[in-house]
Amino acid sequence: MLIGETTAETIKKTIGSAFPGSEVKEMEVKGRNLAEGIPRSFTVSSNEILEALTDPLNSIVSAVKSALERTPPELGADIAERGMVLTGGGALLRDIDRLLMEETGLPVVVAEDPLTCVVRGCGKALENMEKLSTIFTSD
Amino acid sequence: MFESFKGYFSSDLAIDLGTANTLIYVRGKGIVLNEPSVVSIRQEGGPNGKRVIQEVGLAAKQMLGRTPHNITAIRPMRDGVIADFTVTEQMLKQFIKKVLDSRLFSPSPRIIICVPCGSTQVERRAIRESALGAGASKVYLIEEPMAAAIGADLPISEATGCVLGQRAGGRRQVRRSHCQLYPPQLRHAHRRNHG
Repeated sequence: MLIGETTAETIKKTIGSAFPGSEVKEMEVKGRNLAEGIPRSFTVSSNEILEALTDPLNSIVSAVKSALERTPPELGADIAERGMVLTGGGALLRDIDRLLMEETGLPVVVAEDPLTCVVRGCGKALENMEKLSTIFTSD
Repeated sequence: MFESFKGYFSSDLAIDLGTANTLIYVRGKGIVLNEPSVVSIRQEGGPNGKRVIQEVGLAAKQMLGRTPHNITAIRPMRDGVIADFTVTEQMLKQFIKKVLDSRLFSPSPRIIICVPCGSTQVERRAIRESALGAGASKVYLIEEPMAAAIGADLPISEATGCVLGQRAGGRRQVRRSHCQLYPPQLRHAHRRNHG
């Protein structure tokens, strides 16, 4: 079965999840059947998507772990207490906070409205440009 | 003094130029634009002809995978950096034009724009130049994790640590029960004291 990028994105957003155990969801998808060469529709389940997402999720987990390993101990103590915050569109993936919680043992929260987090932060920097002038990168 | 006076009249912008989506915040108005970072380009008159921007944003995204042979729909950003400089500049220009009302004599805006934390100087310069090319009077760059931390209301001016995992949109291709997600970006920020 061959499907396009936009369809793939829709599948991930609709039934994608990062951690097994939550309810299994199914979705009807249309694409081209590779054997017949004819457009067909078929059903994918969230378990299949989870399987497909394993590799990228593993690289996320290992990136988090290596960042934590390189964290100075005093900072690490703060992190153990406060945990980590997820932002960006990827944080909307179902159960990604649970996955990271299981893997790192730290408290994990998804930021409120993770998609617009960066631009809201930029906006705040814009409103308080004089006060926050030190945060801009010079190069 | 003059700067702040000028700032009073121009509508300053904050832009999150992401791989998947571009968001624009206008001072005093909030988030005014949230569209996919996709551009469709029409090739005019043969392979050596002019390349014209057909659509940007949502309209272009709907064309992804559905374009006729003389139009290509592309994402000019890859992994948060500019893969196609001219197209990105055009896209920024179009987006900025969309959000700024066309007043006569309105001074060009100051723009804050996000760069990924690990990006190189060359990439940063590319982003800065395309914002300048798109009509900014002054461009400030801010590291994405820092912006995200402010957006998530983390205590950036305190000397305590927190971790921030940021994952921007990647690109996937799915075949039945097989899918690949191109390098997801994950960035980390060690909080520093900026008080």
